[in-house]
Amino acid sequence: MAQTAVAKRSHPKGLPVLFATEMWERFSFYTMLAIFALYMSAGKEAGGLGLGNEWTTQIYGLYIGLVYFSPLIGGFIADRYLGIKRSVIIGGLIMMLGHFLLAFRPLPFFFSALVCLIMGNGLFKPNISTMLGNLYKKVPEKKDDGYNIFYMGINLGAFLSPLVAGTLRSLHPIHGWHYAFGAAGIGMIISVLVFLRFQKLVEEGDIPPNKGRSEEVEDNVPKIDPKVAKQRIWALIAVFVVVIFFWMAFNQQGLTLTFWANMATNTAIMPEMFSSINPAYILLLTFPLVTFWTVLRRFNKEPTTAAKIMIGMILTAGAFTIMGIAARLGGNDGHVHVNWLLGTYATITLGELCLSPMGLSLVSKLAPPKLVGTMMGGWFVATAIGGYLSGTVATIFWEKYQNSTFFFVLVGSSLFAALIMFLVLKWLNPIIHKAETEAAASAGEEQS
Amino acid sequence: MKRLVSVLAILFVLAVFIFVVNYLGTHDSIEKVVDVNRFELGKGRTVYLIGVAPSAEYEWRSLSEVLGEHGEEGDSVLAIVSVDTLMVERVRDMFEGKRVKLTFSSEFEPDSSSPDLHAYLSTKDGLDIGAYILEEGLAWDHPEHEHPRQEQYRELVRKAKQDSLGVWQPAETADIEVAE
Repeated sequence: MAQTAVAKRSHPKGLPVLFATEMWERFSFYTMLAIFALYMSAGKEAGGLGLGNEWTTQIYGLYIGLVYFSPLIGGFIADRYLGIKRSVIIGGLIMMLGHFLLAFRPLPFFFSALVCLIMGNGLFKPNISTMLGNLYKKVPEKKDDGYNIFYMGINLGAFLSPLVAGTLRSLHPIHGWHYAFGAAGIGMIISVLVFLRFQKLVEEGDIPPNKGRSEEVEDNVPKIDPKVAKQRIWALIAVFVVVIFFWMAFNQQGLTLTFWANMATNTAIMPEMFSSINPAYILLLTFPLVTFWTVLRRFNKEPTTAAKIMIGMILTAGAFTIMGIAARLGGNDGHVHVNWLLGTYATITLGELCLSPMGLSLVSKLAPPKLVGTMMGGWFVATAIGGYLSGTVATIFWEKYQNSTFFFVLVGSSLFAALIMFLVLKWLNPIIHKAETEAAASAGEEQS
Repeated sequence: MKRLVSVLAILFVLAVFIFVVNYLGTHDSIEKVVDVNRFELGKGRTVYLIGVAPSAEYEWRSLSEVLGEHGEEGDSVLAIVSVDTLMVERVRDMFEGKRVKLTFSSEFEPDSSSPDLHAYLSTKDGLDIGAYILEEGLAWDHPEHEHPRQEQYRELVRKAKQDSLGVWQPAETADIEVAE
């Protein structure tokens, strides 16, 4: 009895495996990305490809767009043909090949490498996130926390990569690029090796493909009423629409908040350094936030996953309110104290932690078992649309309006999304509650 | 209890992190003295000394005066007519390569929006660089912008003027190179 209680409290053994696999994969992805544009635009005499700025921006935009869109296809392929675990392994191996191809300078190798990285990412990214959710069948109440911890792994990889890429790149004026690409490749090799070595611990997270399932396997896949499945899919689409607003505001970090750090902040620190603040905050704030949720859970006061997403949107609005006030105080073109920016980053990071890992958790809870990979891909597509809109919004409004007006527009859009979420909560909560109850009941059955 | 201690430890690290960002944002070294009031910092940003005027003198000149036959008649630009290179050299000898602390003022409002910083700079031993420059007569004070140390700076300029230091030396005895 005591043993069961202890087992119930702890996270699945597969969590560290997926944490490390994802951390190294993200390290690899962001290390490559940190020098990708520079490598393309740098002249051949400097060891780059010498493609010029126009080609560089076009290839970069296309690559990022396809990287974020490919999980939808990768999720679908996993659901239908490959299964979750096999997709993660194949995706990882294809990405490894991609990084290996980057070691060769001729353009056919370079473009083949990009195709491999896009395809591999499509298979890897949504399915490893799906796998994590599936590991929590026995402790469904811990799923949100599990995704928070997993998210920290993503950001740990992202935090380290620019530092490593910058250092390796500076070691040699010509070959430095390949040292950095090499580090990205090694990161991917470690990621795949960790996964292969400990795959037994994540076996429970696998879902075999829909096609060609044996009857025995088919019996083990949870069945849900088609009507309920439809309802859940619509619930997820509603959440996807809301999170587009979040990513639109969140991605201002790389755009207008960086412009702000450059033009209106009293600090000797160069503006690009502020891009490391968000991952640093994630590493520092995840554990206190998870503890906060745990304490609330003990008192039966923990918000539902959907309510956490709404809180995330409210915090995002709060973050841009801080910016709006700072801009007003600085007279819109004057400099203000750096703590305004630090406060904004802290608030938006808390919003991110309430929303982004919770979104992954929600997809894992609500998606019908036969479509879970595809729906996870849908989450990443929503992220991509938000990212695209962030650039569009900045292009249209940043130069045209005063800084404070721009930030208050983002406050308005975030509050609008929070309001949508609030209005659909009454409809969403019972759907989520039902899914959680079913998951808890099936966990109880398995344990008994 | 263990969890609480861990959370408190993380919050402490967070406070240290914010302190470090603030510290790094206000401490740097002077990489290059560009003008008596304009320095390039080690991390890459440019800072203007609050209350100290540039050594260069600007005047409105027609484009044809500045660019010769390439300029069009009628248009005019703000052109540098002289740079006090001697004073810049003295400031360079004193402060280039030195670690400095930046003190920003919310009361100081520059003319236009720019990434360049405006701050008071002081050395490790607390020497106010702007005050020193004015006291030694290495530059004029900036009369146009109000700032918290304006009275103190005016007093230093008055004394330098009285003692005929630096830029306040009579023209016939002044050891000043004027660039064309």
